[in-house]
Amino acid sequence: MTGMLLHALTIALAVTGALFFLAGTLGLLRLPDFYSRVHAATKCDTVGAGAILLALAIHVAPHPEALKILVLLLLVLLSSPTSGHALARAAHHTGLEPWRRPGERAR
Amino acid sequence: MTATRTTAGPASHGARGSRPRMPHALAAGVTIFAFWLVISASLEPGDLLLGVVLSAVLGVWSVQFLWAGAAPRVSLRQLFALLRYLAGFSVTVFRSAVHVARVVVDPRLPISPRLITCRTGLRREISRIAFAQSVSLTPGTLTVDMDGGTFLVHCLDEQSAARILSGELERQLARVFDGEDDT
Repeated sequence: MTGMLLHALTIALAVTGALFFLAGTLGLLRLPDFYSRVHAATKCDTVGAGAILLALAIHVAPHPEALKILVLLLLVLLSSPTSGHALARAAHHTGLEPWRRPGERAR
Repeated sequence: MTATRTTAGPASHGARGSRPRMPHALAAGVTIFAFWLVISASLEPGDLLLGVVLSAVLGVWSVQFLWAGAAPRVSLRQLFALLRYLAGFSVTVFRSAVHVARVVVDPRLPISPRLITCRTGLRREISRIAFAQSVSLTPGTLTVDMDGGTFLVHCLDEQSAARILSGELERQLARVFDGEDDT
């Protein structure tokens, strides 16, 4: 019974993660400029990778490998916003202006 | 600690010439060794010895850029406050991914991006870095640049901008790090 519940949780988390990766990819394709694409990559990939890694950790749970996966999860959670910020900062320093909806005035 | 390493990068150029200090090298070495124990998942004497040697070498080598300035002092109380904050914040991270997902599947693509300047009263480097990282994982906002307590934030829409400018996130982090016993 518990085994089945754990399996269900693993599958649910993995599918959730895959859906967020799909959303992130869709964002990369649809969003209009560099900065907004970084939003999609930063947020969706963090949660997508987080959910999939959590699913894997639960799947191998009593094994020490689970700890490795949790360390990996922590690394993703820290590096994702950092790299998103680094990309946006580099773009800003080259003078790239963010896309604005046509007709809106810059403030 | 890890956040300090990543965001303090540009500042490290100034500190490169200074001599690495022993306690910092030791702290880095111990952290690396703990990481080694997790990834090697072995207590064989040979593996342990290799781990000690590698941690010592990497600890001394990495100290130059791990603590570019002064090491952040975090009290036990602040560490617990941070853990409590992170537990609540994980919900925000999830909500921000849902936010982006909903925007990109909407056929109208409902965004009106803007850059805003957010002035905060955060005094410590560690709380500023935590703020920058938190903003990047809050729905619709991304930290582009920081200068002292002032942040340049890219927002996907008006509501996201308003949420950052309301100062709620800043107050939360001020409670965690800018406490009465800060240095």
